[in-house]
This record gives sequence, C-alpha cells and structure tokens, in this order.
Amino acid sequence: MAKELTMENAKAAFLDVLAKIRIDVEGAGGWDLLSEKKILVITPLEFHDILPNRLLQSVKSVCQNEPYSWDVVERDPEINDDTTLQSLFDDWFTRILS
Amino acid sequence: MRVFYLSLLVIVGFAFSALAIESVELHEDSPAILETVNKAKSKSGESTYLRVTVRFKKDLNEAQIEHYSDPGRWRVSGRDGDVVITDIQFASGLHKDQCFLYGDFEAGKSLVLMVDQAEYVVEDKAQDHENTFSFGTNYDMQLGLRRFTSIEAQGALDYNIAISIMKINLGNFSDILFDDVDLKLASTGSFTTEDRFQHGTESSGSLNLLGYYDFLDELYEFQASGGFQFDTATDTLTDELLHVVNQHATGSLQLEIPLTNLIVGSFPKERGFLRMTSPLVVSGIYHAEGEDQDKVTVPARKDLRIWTEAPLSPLFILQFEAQWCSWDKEIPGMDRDNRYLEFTWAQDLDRLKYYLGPLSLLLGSAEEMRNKYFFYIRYGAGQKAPLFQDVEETSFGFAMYL
Repeated sequence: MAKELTMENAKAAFLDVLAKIRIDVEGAGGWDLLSEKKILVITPLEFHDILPNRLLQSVKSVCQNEPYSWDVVERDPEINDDTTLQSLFDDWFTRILS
Repeated sequence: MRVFYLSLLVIVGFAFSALAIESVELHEDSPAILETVNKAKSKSGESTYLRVTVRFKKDLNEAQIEHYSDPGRWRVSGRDGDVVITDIQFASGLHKDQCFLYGDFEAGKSLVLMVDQAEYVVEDKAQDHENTFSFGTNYDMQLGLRRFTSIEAQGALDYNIAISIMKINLGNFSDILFDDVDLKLASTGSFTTEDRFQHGTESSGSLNLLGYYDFLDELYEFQASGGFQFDTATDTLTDELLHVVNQHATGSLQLEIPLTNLIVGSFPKERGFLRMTSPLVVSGIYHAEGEDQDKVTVPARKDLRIWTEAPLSPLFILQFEAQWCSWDKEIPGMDRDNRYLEFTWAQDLDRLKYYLGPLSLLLGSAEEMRNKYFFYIRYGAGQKAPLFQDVEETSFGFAMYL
C-alpha cells in the first residue's frame, strides 16, 4: 500500500533518495543540521555533470516503488552554486511527486 | 575531421529543432492565474502517460481546491479536438498551489487550456517520444590556485570546465540499456607561472550515453562516450601556448564499481560533515590515430584510468587517481607505456577559518565561505597525458567552485 503523500513522508523519501546516491544525511547529523548544505559542494567534482540525472534516477527508483509508490514527473533538477538540499527538496523534489 | 564537424552540426541542429519550450499566455483577469504549465511524462507501475502540471500563483484554500478539482471546470483542446480530462490531482499534502491534469494527451502537440473563461497555450515542441530535453544547462567550473614545492614553476592555475549543451532523457525507451544522452563540451588544464600549461590541455566534445543500475539499495552509473578531442601543449621553442599535439576521435566506457565504497562508507561520520561517498570509478578510453597541428600522424592510444575519493572528515578528504596509457606504436623520444599517479589531501576551508586571521575577510563571511573553498596538498608522479613529461611534483593550494 502506498504511503500518503505528506511533507513528513516526502522528507523521509528524500533522505532515502540521497542515501541511494551515498549522501548519508542521517548518519552525518540529520536534516535539521544539514539541510542548508550545498549539493555541488558535498558532491565530488567528478560527479557534477551527471548529478541531475543521478538524482532523478534515484527519485524514480525510491518513490515509484514500495513503500512509497508515488507518481514521479520525469524532470531533471536545475542545479546551480546556490542549490541547497532544502531548495532541492522545496523547488524540485516535492514538485514532481503526486 | 569533416565528418566529425558535420555530425556535430547535425546533432546541434536536431537539438534546436527538438527544443521543448513549455509556456503559457497569461490572462490578467483570470481568477486563477497559472504561473507555469508543463507537459511531462510520468510513470506509475507499468503505465506511462502524459500529464499537465498547473501551477497557481498562490496557495488555494479548500474551497478553491474543490472548485478546481472538478474536471468540468477545465477544457483542454488539441489539434484534433478536445481532450477528455480523466483526473485532476492536487498533491495538497505538499503544495496547495499546484495540480496535475490527466488525460489522453498527445506527445509533441501544443494544447489550449481553458479554465474560468481564460485561455492558456501549453506548448510542447518535443518531437520524439516526449523525451524531456534541456539545452545549455548544467555547467560546472572549478578553479584551483597552487604553489609548487618541488619543481621550477612557482604556481599554477588549474581549471576544469564542463558544459552540458544538450541532454535528452530516454525514459520512454525504458527497455533499453541507457537512460540519458548528454552532449558535452569539456576542457581541463593547468597554467603555470612559467607561462605554459604544465601537462598540456585536453578539450573535447563528446556524446555520452548514461545508464544506471541498482545494487544493494545503491544507485551506480555507467557511461559510454564517443567524441573528438584536442590535446595541446606549450611549444617551448616558439613559445606557442596552445600548440595542438593531437586531434583525434575518442571512445570510452566508464563504470562505477559496486561495493568499493563500503569500507569508507562504514566509517563513523563526524557530526555536520556531509559528503557523497564515491565508489571506484574505472574508465577505459580509446584514442584513435590522430594528427598534430603540423599534420604529423599521432598513433592510437589506449588509456585506463581509475579514480576514487575517501571523505573521512572535513580535514581529511583523500582523492586518488591513476592513469595507464599505452601507445599502439613507438614514438621517438617517448615511452610506449606511461603511468601517472596522483594523491590529493583536501580540507574544507570552513574548518580552518579561525586560523586564517585577516585573510578570511578576503574570502567573505564565514557563512559565504562555508562549503565553497578547499585547501589541498597534491602529490603527482609519472607521465601525465597529454604531454607525458616525466614529473614528480608536490604542490599545495586552494580550490573553489564557481
């Protein structure tokens, strides 16, 4: 059964999405401490150019399957210098779910 | 060469023709002014369908959500007549200013959306299979300033630029191996205080096919690329800065090796230190026979490169890179097999700011410099492409993301 699409569940799913690409928010102190981290800075330069694809693939893999089973619009995030985990969550992740 | 340029022209031409611009004409007197409307592919279980995302200017209240949840309020017309709206969904648990319209929308066709006597044009110019498309986005640049401790040059400015000029998501061809196509321009080099590039420069245009696979709850990427590359080196006799030493076609395969991040990933994390844990990245690159600026043939070459990073703490981020390059034929004055190893020890400058004194003012406030600047010490030894000059060098410097 699909989880209800609430802000709380979406946040849990987003942490799963990040963990899937080996960004361990919970292990490093949790969302409240780390949500303003800039995504380009916590990602090695080696992976910058494929980061949007990688994030979208991770969202599809996590959110379209149990326990979430949500619909995902296949739209890459727009990432720049100022993109933080929080802005990624607010402006992209929660906008492509239903 | 001509074939390459022609191919590039065709690809770029296709890029422009397939450019998907999604926009609406706004009606100021509409009570529900739409800010953006996007037509995008969605996937649920086995079914794939199109839907229109409608974004209002502000959050709707419960009465307004009920009002706009009625499919009778909306009318969507395509070129062949009206499209029946089968469902309207508000993800109200997340945002109250956005809803999705579902119906039998056709890919690649513009729509006219009518609501509350107002009319909006939803353009969808994606030509093929509703693949999402972006152009000129996702650029990336890193600059580093280094001071050498072991060679004649006193310092160097490193640059590493990559621009994704076209990207196509192949989600609709879900049965094929690759998920994305990326046309990319990239250049890397290191300019020293001796007015020359230290190891030369490498600049390329390449078409990359990206695929992903799940393994033990983690996502790994693999990539196949083909393109054209220019290698330059500073000519010490003529002082020509960017003398082309090789121009050639390239093909490569790159793979992230699963489980190679397990050991580093299992290290206890310092509170507040967050960084992606990298697996081992292995690349095999074939450089076809090329020619230099003077039309002298340069033999083909095979490269193997491995790269990884171990982010152990903010003061202990280790990177390792190794390259093996093997020429197909002997080149006078050059080894047939070349090896290069590089270790970098990086530290997040945020943690060092208390020791910088007045210097920290140059880098902005603590908040501004946080997670932006790195201090690093680098040791490199061997023969590095494209110049393959035998070096052993130690340097320290700053790197920043732009």
